This record gives sequence, C-alpha cells and structure tokens, in this order.
Amino acid sequence: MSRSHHVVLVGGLLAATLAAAAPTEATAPNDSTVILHVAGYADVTVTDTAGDAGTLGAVTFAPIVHLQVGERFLIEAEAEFDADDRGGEAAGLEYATANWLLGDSSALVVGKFLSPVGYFFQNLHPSWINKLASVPAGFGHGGAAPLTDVGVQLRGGRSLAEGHQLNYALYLANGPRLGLEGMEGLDLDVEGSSTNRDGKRVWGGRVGWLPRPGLELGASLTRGDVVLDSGEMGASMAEPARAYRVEGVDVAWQASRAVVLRGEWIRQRVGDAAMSAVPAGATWRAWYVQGAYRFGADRWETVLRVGDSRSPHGESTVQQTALGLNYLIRPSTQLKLSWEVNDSDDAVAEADRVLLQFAHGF
Amino acid sequence: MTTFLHRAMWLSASDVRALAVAFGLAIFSMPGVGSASDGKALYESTCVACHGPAGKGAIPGVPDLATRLSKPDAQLVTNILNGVQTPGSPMAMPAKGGNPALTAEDAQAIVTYLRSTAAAPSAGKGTPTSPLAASSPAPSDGVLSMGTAQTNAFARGAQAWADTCARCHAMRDPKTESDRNWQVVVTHMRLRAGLDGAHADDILAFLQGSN
Repeated sequence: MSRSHHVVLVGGLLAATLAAAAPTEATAPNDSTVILHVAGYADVTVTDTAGDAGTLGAVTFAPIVHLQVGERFLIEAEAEFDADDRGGEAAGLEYATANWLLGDSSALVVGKFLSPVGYFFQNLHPSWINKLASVPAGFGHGGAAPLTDVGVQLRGGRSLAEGHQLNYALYLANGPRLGLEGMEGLDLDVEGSSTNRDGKRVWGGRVGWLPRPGLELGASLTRGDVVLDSGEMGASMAEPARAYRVEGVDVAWQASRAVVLRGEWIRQRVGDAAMSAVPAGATWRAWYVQGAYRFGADRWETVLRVGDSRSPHGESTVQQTALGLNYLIRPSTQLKLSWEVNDSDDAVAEADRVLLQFAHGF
Repeated sequence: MTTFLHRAMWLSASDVRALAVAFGLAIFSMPGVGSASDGKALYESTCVACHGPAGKGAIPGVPDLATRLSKPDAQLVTNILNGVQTPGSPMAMPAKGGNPALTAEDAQAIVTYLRSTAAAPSAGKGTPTSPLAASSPAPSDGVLSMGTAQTNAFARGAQAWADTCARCHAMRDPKTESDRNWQVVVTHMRLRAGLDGAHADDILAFLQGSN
C-alpha cells in the first residue's frame, strides 16, 4: 500500500473517530472509577497420538488483566504460558490494547490485538469456549488465519431496523512477516510484532450481520503488501514488495437452545514476485463446519467438526474429522474428550489423536 | 384549577357520596395484587427472557417450569424471592428473577398465573394462551406499575444476554462476578462481540440486577 493510501486510510479512521465521538459529548461518564479485574483461562490436555507416545500433559495458563478507567477506557492484556511433559515451554503476550469507547457504536483500539479478520481466533480459541480440545485445522499457529497484529482498530456495533444488528472492525496494522521455511518455501508468521520489519502495512477488517439474534453472517478482508525477509540467504538482495490478501466468510447459527452450528472459510495469499529469491507466491486456505448438541440437563454436549487445511507445507495440509463429548462441571469448567481422525501426506499430521482436556475459564 | 374547584363546590353531599361509591366499586372491580392477570404481565416482563414464552427454558440450564408446579405455593414463592439452584443445572436462578423490584405479592401472582395457565385448556390450535402450553405474546413495556425504565432494561438485558452470549460460550451464572467486575467484563465483551452501547448497558443491568 502506498504512502498516499495510508494517509487516506488513517485520515478516514480519524474522521470516523471524531464523528462517532461527537454525539456522546452530552453523556457524562464517571471518569473517577478505576476497576482492576483479572480473568482468563487455563487448561490441562492429555494427548494420545497414534504411533507416538503422546503427552501425559500439556498445560496452558492465560491470565487476562483488565483495568477500566471510568466508563469509556479499558486497558487489557493477555499473557499465555504453555508447558508440556517433553520439556516444551513457551510464554508470550497474546494481546495488549488500550480501548476507548467513543460512543454507542464505536470504539478505538490501539496496540497488539487479536486479528479482527475471521472469527475463530478472536472469539472462540480460549479452551473453555472452544467446544473441542483442539483448534480446527488451519486456525491455529502456522495456519491459514491471521492470529494477532499490531496497529489501530475502529470497531463496534449498531442496531438496525427490524431487529437486525451489525458489528464491524476496521484495522490498519503492521501485517504478517514473510519468511522462509527451508531454502525455497515461503513461511508466513501471522503473529503480530511491534517491529514492522518490511516497512509495509496492511488494512482490512470484518463485518458481521445478524438478521436475527441467533444467526450471524460475517465477511472478512485484508489487503496490503509484504516483503520477503530471507535472512542471511538473501542478505545481498533487495526483495520486492508483493501483494498480501486475505478473504474469509463465517456463519454461526443457534438453531435451538440445545444446538449451535457454525462454520468458517478463510484464505491467505502472497503474490508472485519475479525479482525475488523466491518468485512464486503461496496460498494458505482452511475451512471447518461444526455442530454441537447439548443434553442431559445441559451438562453434556456432543460436538462434530469437519475441516480441511491447505498450505505450502505438508504438516499444515490435512483433512480432519473430530468428534467430541464434553461434560460441563460448571458453564466455564469443562471436561472434554475429543477424537481426531486426520488425513494428510505428512506422517506427523496424518496421525489420529485422542485428547482429554480439563478447561476452566475464570 | 380555580375554575374546577369553584365548580366542584356546587356538588351536593349526596353527589360526593355517589362518586365515592362509584370510585370504590371501580377500584374493587380491578384485578387485585396477586391475581393471574398481574402474574401474566410480571412473567412476561421478568421471567420470559430465561424461561421463554412457553415456560420451557429459553437458554441452556433453565428447566421446564411445568415440572416445578408440584411444589406448594409457599415453596415456589420462596424460590422466586431467594433464587434457587436446580439440581443438575449448571446455572442458578437469581433471587427475584434478578428483578429487585419484585415483591412477595408479585411472586405469588406469578405462581398463580402459572398454575392457572397450566390448568387451563388450550384455546385451540394456533391460539396459544399458556406459557406452559404454548408461546405467549411478546411482553409489552410499561404494562405494570413496576414497569420502570430499570425493569425494562433488565428484561431487555436478559434477552440480549441469552441471545448474544450463548452464541459463543456456555452461560455463566450472574452470581460469579461482583457488580463492579461485571462492568469490566461487559466492556470487554462489548468490544469483543461488537455490541452497541445500548445492548451492553441492558446486559449489564441484567447481570448486576441478578447478582
């Protein structure tokens, strides 16, 4: 995206910000109240992988700290700590944002945020919310869906006529980092960084439409440029910019009080660049559909999910069918048993799995 | 006003007595507190969001009310006023259905209404009349003397809470957070779910009222 496009986009966001903020001058928020609140989730997962020893336990702890100042300002951050019985450890900042509620239908979000593109990661990935013990193929790390980004968002919702509702999120951010996997394969790091190494930015967002309360239809789009960071291999070459595009659609339908159906399709594409060390572009694409049925005084839940992920890398190209049986100890505390049947050309991705997970949201 | 008082001075004592009797009869003939008709309006403004228009539960964790009417009135009224945790349900009913304005007489009226509709035969196919038999008309704002702006926000919030939150996750018991904490959680979810401010305010009114 050119500098002039950036100016127009940022100007548009600021204009919308000011326009949205203006009508709320009459309201008088209580700006003296400061509330500190800790939320988050934690889980323990035992995985039995066909042909492998599996893990006795993997633990995730993801605390979220909220600091609300008055009625309009919210600062929030989520950290994530992971450990497993094979010595794997990871810690990171999932997101950290400053949020300003501008008016009834808009808010300004600045910082590192969950990508507003797509639906699963920004709304469903916490283990006490996700109805299976694993994420859909292609919707986790190294998948087809953007996860986090660093920049600015304008987001909110609005009630329309006849009970319709609209929600939206528009953003301008640093975008992903395009690197190499091996000597020739493009690799897309879709976790946001405060360092914009390629100097390019991306813009886009998602719009959700609810024609009635139990049904949401969403569409996402991102446009921008990325530059290959080829590291030492291409240190002597000046890499050209290439197009980065994301498209996605999602649907969620609460068919009855016991049945929830949802699905999502998303695709990321990196364009060709003839003068690059790796001229050919690449495409990552994933989809899933999922149905969940609750029974037994709402204590029990069965889940069926079918999905498919395609990527330039074999380990992320897999067709997956997952079946789950959950017991809700409390609404935010669940014991989940999931069976995954995987089909892939990659031996690791091909392995079927049984997962037992204890998840708790707090 | 001066003119009115001047004219009223011309009323005789018998006229005043006749007016008083007529007014008294009108008051006496109106539905009393605790009647089924009051109970219907109370049910539709306070209970319907969670229990549903048919009384069978609008959200997960809410039982079918028809299975609860074997209990005596006093027990049901106590449950309404104090709240109750249904065995096996992951969520508790808040005290007074989350409506702080609900009185013991109101609770009795709701019980009376539920018993009357459970006993009444259906009006026929396509004309449902009972919350325990079929769907009822949507609640109307300001039906009751207690139909204040706060109560309306509470009812709207209960519906918005059921409609919005259950799309992604299991419904958490409103008692799991304090009023202050719900304010933060609702702000967080307003951002995450793309709620407009009015919906978020209604949901907050419901959660704090249910706490």
